[in-house]
Amino acid sequence: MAKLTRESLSKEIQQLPSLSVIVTHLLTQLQRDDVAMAELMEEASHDQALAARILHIANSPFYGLSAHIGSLKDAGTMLGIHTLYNIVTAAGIIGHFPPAEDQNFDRHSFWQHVIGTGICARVLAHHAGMDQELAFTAGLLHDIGKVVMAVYFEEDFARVLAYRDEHDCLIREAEQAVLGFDHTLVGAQVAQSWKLPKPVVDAIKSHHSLPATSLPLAELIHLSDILCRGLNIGHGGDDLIPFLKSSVLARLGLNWDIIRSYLGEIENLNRFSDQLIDSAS
Amino acid sequence: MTIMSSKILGLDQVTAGMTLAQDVLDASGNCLMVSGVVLTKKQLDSLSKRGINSLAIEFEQELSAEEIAALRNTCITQFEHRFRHVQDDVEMQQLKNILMAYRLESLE
Repeated sequence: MAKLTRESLSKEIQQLPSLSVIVTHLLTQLQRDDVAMAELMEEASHDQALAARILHIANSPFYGLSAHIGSLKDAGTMLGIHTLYNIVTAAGIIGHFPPAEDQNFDRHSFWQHVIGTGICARVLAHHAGMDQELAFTAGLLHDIGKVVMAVYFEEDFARVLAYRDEHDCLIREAEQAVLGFDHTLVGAQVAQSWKLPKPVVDAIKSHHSLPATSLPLAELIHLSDILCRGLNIGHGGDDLIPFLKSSVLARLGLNWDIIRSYLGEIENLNRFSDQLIDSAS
Repeated sequence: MTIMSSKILGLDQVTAGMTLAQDVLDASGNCLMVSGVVLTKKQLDSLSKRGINSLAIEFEQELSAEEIAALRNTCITQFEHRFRHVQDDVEMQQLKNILMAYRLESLE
């Protein structure tokens, strides 16, 4: 594949495989009352491969359900529709990308990082009075540009990883040095091509470089990404912590004591991610 | 404190109530049982019939004071490593200290 440039980027992205209809609906459906959610799950059950993966996850011992779950409808009843939403969206996104072994960019720990960021964002969104599903989705997708490069622009990404190793820097700094742009631009364009809601596109685009104007979802993802890296939940492609923008905590109505009080819950909710990734890949 | 560890036991040594530490696969790689399952007598009989002769089983391991100290040191070293580029930043140090204190609490 040709070398990726800022100019060729949007054209290249348009040629990538499109997301399945059901996963697109899951990610773009903003009206999420229980009825709408139940309809989404009904739709998901028509994608047999996806439904099979979800039932495998829902029946895993992590959820500790004594009865065997045989349908997505039962899964929604037993697990709660919102937990099921997390599983379905994560399984849909993970399953979209062909699995691969890459020692320099471990896919399993990458998915752990983004699911962790999504869960962290969801928990803090609840405190901040923000939409929790949107927060999870934005966390899940915030680094989608990295995996898109790893899968579809392998050679460019290999040069990025080599630069990262040589200069001991953040992957984003390596991307900027090698390509002249970074995963936030790639991710935002991918999200746009998938027609995702604007707040999600903005959060992907701005989670490392927050604008002066208020962008709550991007701020939430900025913080959640940093917390997950700090707690060593998964691996986003580098083992460094980006600087936290100091105004973010106050803007979200948070402080360190509040954040500290949620760490246990975040880690507990994260225990499902291993099983989810194994079943979904 | 204890940590969860695992060891491989012959099927004849495994009893009902033990927890499976790894997925059980048959010869063609199909998953017969996923890790985390608390085994029942019926499941053990079924695995035996399918020709499975050993299982990875979870057990709690009591740690010595030295082992706990070593885990704490590893934890601190990892934090120092991840935060190596932000040593001079007051806020990032605060973040590091909060997260590290939280991690070390579980290693007391």
